[in-house]
Amino acid sequence: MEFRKGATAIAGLGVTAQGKVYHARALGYAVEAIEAALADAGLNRSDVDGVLLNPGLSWRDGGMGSLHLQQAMGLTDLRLSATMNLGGATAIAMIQHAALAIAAGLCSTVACVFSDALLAPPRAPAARRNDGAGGSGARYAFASGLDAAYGHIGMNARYAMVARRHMHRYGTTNDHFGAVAVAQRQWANRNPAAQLHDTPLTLDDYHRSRWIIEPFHLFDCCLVSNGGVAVIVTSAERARALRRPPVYLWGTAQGHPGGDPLETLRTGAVLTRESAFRMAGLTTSDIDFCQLYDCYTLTVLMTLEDYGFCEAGGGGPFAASGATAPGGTLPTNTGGGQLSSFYMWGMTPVSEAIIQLRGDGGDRQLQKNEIGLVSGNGGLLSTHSTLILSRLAS
Amino acid sequence: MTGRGTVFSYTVVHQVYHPGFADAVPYPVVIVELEEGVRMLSNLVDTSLADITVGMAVEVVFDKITPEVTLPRFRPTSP
Repeated sequence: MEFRKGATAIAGLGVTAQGKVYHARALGYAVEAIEAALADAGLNRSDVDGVLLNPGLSWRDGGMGSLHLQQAMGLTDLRLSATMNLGGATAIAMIQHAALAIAAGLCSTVACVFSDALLAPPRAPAARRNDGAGGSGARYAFASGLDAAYGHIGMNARYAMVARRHMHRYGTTNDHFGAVAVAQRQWANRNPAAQLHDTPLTLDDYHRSRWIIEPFHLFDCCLVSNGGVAVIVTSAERARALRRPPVYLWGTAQGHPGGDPLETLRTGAVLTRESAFRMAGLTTSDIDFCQLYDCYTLTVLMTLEDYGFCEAGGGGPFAASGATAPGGTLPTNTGGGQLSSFYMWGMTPVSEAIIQLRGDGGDRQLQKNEIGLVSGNGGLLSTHSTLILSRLAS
Repeated sequence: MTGRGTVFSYTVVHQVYHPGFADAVPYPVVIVELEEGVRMLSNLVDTSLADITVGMAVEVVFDKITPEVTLPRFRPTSP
């Protein structure tokens, strides 16, 4: 089978409870998510012949996690197995890898899963509890060498440096970052599954929220969540015979720019915007909605620019115009995203795209829901992946 | 090397990520572009946080933290 637009599809989606959930560890959430995805698709464990895992930071022996996952689920006779890590770009890369393997005839039905369980319950022993130092994601607060000596610790610090350069070069302001946060909270307020569903956010609330590392306020930074998300990838033909409306893969690509993001101020979307859209036979004007990796508000702005929805440096004014919010011309992160819904790395935007394309969006369901653009991002704007999905076969 | 340069980017850390910095927050972290063209990470001293800007001129000061450890930091260049 040729690897081309519409040849493969997502046939199942499984999302566990998200956020401050403590009944399992990362492996357990991965199993739960895959089981939910299989039930969603109307499949059994015996139907799975491929397992791809993107392990979150809490995985033990994460390097060979797919082996543990196979054993935990009692899966036999797999034809495809891999533990992959491009950070937040992995979810789409797993789906791409699954689709390529299916098209090549290696396997037929692949479970792609992410899970993590960094948060420990409030009354856990001190060794497991992540206390105030480091906030809710102590494992992301890595530090070494001279960086540590100067107090430059963790991913927030690194993205904050890039944000300041974006502000310097393009005049981006905290109002612009806040516009992203506010728009996504509006979407989350319509999503009962979002961790921040019950909490509205105004631009004032955003500005008054405590500084994490300037120029980032609390609400510039994504949530940290325990849980898992899985999808089942099959051929389009197989997906049509299953329980849910297929979500077809129209285009996909990876882009890892290298260089110094402080200099380049760009994501890998500049590399994938031509290749992924060519595979899908589309331009950006064909996109009905975006689900963009939003580890920070900054990441959304830069990704919008790099896909060409606005000019370089224009992401701030674009967001401030309301374009990405409910009622806007380019609905973005329509479940609330990682900022307001849940943080399952690249599976957060993937899952919301599937929900919208299937018409399962409830109060946040978009009327124009034929074609969705999904992005993944990892490291410090180091890795990137693009996925174009449609509810139409071609 | 002259030890002089300009601020290429900066952050101000408010969150305590390590107990060693509990008394220091909020503190600035800077990337300085030295006159020679190299960039390095450091802290800014002798300046109020509100005065920090990208492009401001700075010069190195050597902070002798212990007999074994000296860290270069930067302060605004006197006008």
